Amino acid sequence: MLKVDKLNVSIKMNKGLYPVLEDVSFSVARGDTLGIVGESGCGKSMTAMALMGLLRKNIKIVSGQINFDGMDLAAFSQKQYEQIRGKRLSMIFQDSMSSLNPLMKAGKQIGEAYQIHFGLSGDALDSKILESLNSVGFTNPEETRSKYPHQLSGGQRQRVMIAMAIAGNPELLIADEPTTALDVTSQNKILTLIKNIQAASALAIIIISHDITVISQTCSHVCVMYSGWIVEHGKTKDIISNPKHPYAEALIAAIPNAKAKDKELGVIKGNVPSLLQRPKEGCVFAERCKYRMPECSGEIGNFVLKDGRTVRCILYRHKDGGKEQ
Amino acid sequence: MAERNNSKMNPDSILKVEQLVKTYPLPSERIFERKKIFTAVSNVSFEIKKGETVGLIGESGCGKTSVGRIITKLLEPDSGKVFFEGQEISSIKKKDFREKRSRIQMIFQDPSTALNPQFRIGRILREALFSIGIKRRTDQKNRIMPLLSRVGMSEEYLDRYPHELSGGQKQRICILLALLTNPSLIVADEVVSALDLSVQAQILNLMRLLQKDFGLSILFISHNLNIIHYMSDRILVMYMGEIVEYGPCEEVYRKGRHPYTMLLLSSLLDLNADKTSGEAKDSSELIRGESSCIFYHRCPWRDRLCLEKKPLFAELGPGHYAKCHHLDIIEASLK
Repeated sequence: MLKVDKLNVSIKMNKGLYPVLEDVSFSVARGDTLGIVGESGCGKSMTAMALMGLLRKNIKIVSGQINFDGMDLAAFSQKQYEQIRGKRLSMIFQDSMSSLNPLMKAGKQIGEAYQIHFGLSGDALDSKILESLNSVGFTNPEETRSKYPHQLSGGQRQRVMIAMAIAGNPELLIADEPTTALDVTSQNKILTLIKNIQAASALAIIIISHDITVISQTCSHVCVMYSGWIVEHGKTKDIISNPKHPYAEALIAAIPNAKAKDKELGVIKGNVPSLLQRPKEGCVFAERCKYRMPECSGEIGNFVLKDGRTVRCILYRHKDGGKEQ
Repeated sequence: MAERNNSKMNPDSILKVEQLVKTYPLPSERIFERKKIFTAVSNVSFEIKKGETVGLIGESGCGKTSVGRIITKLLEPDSGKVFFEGQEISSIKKKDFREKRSRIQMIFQDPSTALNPQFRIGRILREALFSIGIKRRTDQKNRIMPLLSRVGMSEEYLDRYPHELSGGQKQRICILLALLTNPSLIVADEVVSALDLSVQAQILNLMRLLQKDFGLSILFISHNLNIIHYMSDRILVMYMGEIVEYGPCEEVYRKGRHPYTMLLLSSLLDLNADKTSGEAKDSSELIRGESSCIFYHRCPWRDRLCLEKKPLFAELGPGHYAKCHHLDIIEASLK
């Protein structure tokens, strides 16, 4: 349903043009959940913003297509976006405290979505608000609707956000770090809720997270991002049990594992490069990579392996049935 | 006085905390209302042995940071005692605590707010030494240099400002800052939760290495069970101000039997929608029955007994205790 093809996004800064996303391609089908995982600054949120048409003025889509149900969103104007945003594609943000209006009661904020998208008012609106609060798991919606955001806990606020996001019956929902600010127990509740909503409405979901365990529990497919590249894209199971790209491999080795308490954690030398330090040519991970070769400074394409996943690394030129795309 | 306190402490333990209580007043909603109080820490007791890492885990708002701050004397407890290296430190004056302060150090969650943004790294480090009476430049340098390479940094960083360093580098400086005064106990409060995964691994490795080399004792506070398990020798599980279960790391991780520990463990391993996980209540919302079990509202095994009588610690294995009335039933239900 959504197909992103060779998306390139650049930021204008200090009179220069710096690429933040390079050749990002993936697709999500109806009822599917795609995970995007990576460290901070790798371009996960930028991808989400590009899809939602929420890029700041100095950030532009340079080339590529965002194909959503036959329309190319990359070429959409803000006016056109207003027609579909909230209605056909919707988003949940990380920080529920700053995304909700602190001066407006929860019920009214949810009501706004119904007013705008369906023109509801009066009793019809009231019952719709209660129904939607109920559907995101509030057992006492009458009470919750008249609370201000600061009177709700983090998990409750996140559920209000979800209620708002799904008010317009979207076809695609993007959740940007939906559980990062939450405790483990409420994290589970939110993820289960998102899953249940999806099961009920065949929604396509993109979950963005820095936490691989969150992704592994919810997503069938995953994109691993590093510095504006999708370095590996495939089935979550495959990538977690047997990562191919050196970065994905290192990232998974860095998670404390219950089975190997005595072993040292895997470490990636150095830091994620900043926008200005990013290599202009060749592989973006080369500097920190333990398999670095002279070829890494050349053009790096995507290689499709036998098992269907895509890896952006020159190592797979001839390995594991790698074929250049 | 010191003699008597000394006898209270196990000779191989470095820190002992007894019946710690800390309450905060809640803002009143009406003017003449009776003041309400929120109990952040309630009757917390534990010990840390020399060279041991104790993990303290709990959700946000459970009081784990308050415990860490009371130990480092950044916060005064309402009642209860803290013994450190044979001396009671909870009742002594701040001034008298000075010499001990260098022996207990704290590493904070957010390294970017822990370092003074106006000073270069070198000055920040020298100031710490100045405060414990090392005032000569050469002495300061002799102290800083060997440690600098130990935390994986080089001399050039001394001339930089905190904002010029990455999050991981700043945390390394914070660790160095803590080690500088030659401490025997470090309270590490969520040290890696602000860091990216790959950097997090670097810091955890570094802390494990340094602990071995310097023979440090660490109280490692975190909300992440995986990290706690990786770092700790023993685990304390805290819920709403109380320790509900404690024991050796593997025991708690594999055989945790308190319903709350089990909830944490199940949240970790799988997403089981059918599990009775209960609503995460805002802690101020709950009526805290003085005599009922702290976990009553969320517990799938609750009954009348739990409401009427507060459970005491029951032994599950050597050194492994949990505060629950129904450990037998829970154990049986798992078979």
